Order: sequence, then C-alpha cells, then structure tokens
Amino acid sequence: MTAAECLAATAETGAAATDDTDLARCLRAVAEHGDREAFLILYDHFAPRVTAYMQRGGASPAQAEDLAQDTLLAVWRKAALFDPRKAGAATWVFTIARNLRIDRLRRERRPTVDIDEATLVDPAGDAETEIGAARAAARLRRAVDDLPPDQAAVVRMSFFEDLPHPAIAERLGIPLGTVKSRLRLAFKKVRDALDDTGDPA
Amino acid sequence: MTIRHHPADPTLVASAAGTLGEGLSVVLATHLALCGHCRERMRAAEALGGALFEALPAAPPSAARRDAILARLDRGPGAAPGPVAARDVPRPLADYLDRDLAAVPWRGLARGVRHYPLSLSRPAGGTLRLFRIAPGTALPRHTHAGQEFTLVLDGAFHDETGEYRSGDLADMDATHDHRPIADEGGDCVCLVATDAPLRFHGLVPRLVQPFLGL
Repeated sequence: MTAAECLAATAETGAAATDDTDLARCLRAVAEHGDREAFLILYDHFAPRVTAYMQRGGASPAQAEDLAQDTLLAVWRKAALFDPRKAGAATWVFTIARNLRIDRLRRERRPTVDIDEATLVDPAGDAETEIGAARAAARLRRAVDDLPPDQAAVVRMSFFEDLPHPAIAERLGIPLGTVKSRLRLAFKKVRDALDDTGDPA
Repeated sequence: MTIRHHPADPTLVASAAGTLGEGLSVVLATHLALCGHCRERMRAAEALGGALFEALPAAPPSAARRDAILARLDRGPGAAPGPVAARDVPRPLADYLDRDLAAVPWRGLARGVRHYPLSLSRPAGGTLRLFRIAPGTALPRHTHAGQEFTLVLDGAFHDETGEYRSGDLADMDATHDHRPIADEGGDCVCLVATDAPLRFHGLVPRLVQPFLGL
C-alpha cells in the first residue's frame, strides 16, 4: 500500500467522511514505508477529533491542540502496533488519545493492557478481514446512532467528560444503579452489532 | 484455567472510557491477561469509544499545525517492543510488583491474613495490595464505599456470591455485603484494589472501612 493507492481508495469512497478501512490502509502505509502522505490523511482526519476530545475532557483550546499533535505523533511512531483484526483505525487512535489524556491531564499511570499486544496471526486473509471489519464498523456506527437518548447521554458523559459512574449519577440526579443499567443496555447493543456476522441489509 | 467470574459490563465501559482508577485498572488488566473472553468484551467497549470519537465534530486542522507536525516526523516509526523478562505474574501486575510473587515479603495483618501493599502513581488512584489468606480463615463482613476488585491468583475463596478460583475477578460495589472465607487446601493469594473516595468528590461517604483499611 502506497500513499497513492491509499489516496485513490480514499477518493473512491467519495466526498463523504474518510472510511475507516481507508484509514486502516493509511496506518499500514505509515508502518511499512514511513509514508508521509498517508500520515497526512490520518492527520487531517484525526487531529481535529482528538482536539475536540481533549477539550471535552477539560483541556484548554491550546492544550487540546498540543495533545492532538502529540497523539498524532504517537500514531506515526506506533503504527506498526496497529492490528486491524483487533480494532478499527478510529478505535485505535481513540485509545492512544485516551491514554494520553490520563497521562497528561490527570497525571496518572495505567497498566499495560494485553489486548494491544501482538498475538497469533488470524487464519482469515487480509481482504476478508478488511471486509468484515468495514461491515462491523458500519453496524457499530448505526448501533451508536440508534441508542436511545438516555443511554447515549450516559455513554457520552462517560467517554467524553471523564466522569466516573457515581459522578454521572449525581449530575443526572439518578441512582448509580440506573447509570449502570443504561451502560449495560448500550454495551449489549454494541456487542450485538459487532457479533452479528450476517450481511448488512 | 476455567474462569467463571468476570468484570461487569459497566466496569469495562468505564475502563474503555478511561475513568476507572489506577488500582482497579491494574486488577482488571491482570484479569484480561488471563481471560480471552474479557479481552474480546474489552475490544467491544473500546470500539464503542471509537465510534463516539469518530462522530465528534471536526474542523479542518490549520496549515501551521500540519507543517509543525511534519517537521517532527524526523525518525521512522518505532518497532514493536521486544519481549519482556519472564515473571511469575501477568505483565500488568509485574509492572507494579517489584519482585516475583514467590519472593514477596509478606507482612502479618491479622490472624491468618498477610498482605503486601503496592504503590500507585498517585494516592488518588486508590489502593492496591496482595493478600495471602490461610486456609479456612474468614475475613470480617464488609461492604464497599466505592468499587472493590478481587482477583484470585492462587487457591480459592468463597462468599455469599459464589466460589472464586484462580483467574476469577469479584467485581463488588456498595450493593454487595460479603464475608469472604479462604477455601481449605492451600493459601488463597489475591490481588485486591479499591478506588479512592477522593475521586468521587464527597459523593461516597468516607466510611472508615471495617475491613483492614480497605
């Protein structure tokens, strides 16, 4: 995968937002060739999202931009660790941004989580993996869009406002058990969307 | 190893969101190292975060920022990290434990109960410690101000909620009131974390924990 192929693939998907599969291809081009053009596609797509994410997590606008630069620099350096069998491109970049937020904004350490580490090669071929991942990403996006407002609210507060569950309960004036049951329902929909192996309609 | 007790769904979502305290995160990560089922669940929780992140409103980045980062791409992407020295506990715990489990200098805490506290990067990260409970020893009945995770590393214990063996994680909060008892047949070695009441800004009453300062 070269930057040219990566760009062509991006162009094929039309004017809409860059597809997660194309972004995954760009990550591979960065990992394999240190491809700067592929990196810029990733940068243009993700840097603004990381900036928005950091601001929601309590960073000042300037701090959020600095954290976005550092997150994308980590994407450049760690691209070889990206494994499309385990996560989509957006999910992988999200976890890097999240870890940087914990490290810099909260100044705390976190353990190394083994789900990021390499495992045995999946028997499925790359193309099959890509198609499967693209379909799963589309189902997941629909599932998240379709979350009932009360479930979407607690999920967003948890992911974006850096609030532990008891703080969400206080903010919304609902029992902690209700926060947890809404998260449980939202999580079930996500898992169903990811597990569904049937073809999309 | 057959693992029967797993972290609750909201716990995985909190971990994916980055809101789980450091001590609880170490216990969860150690369980994930042992449990493929939960690694798969964790990937789903992170995919939820990825989907929300992808949907964030995004303005185009400035040309100056773009040029600035290109100037910083001075060296090639780093290689994957090499293998880590073999230890007798999973990697997430090994990072916090300065020696092998077999060489821990246990300290007596009560009759039949020994412990070894582990350091976190900040006191607000909660508490993290290893326990070694003699067979048949019952711990005092207790409940929890916040969350308490107990991961069995060796031996077994039981309480009102079930039987916990090697690899099992007991995910407890204020709704649980229990009296753990170590099974006969060998010491029960556990990794236990609680979260810090300080993180909850007074939402959780600062109970004096009845059980050993947890």
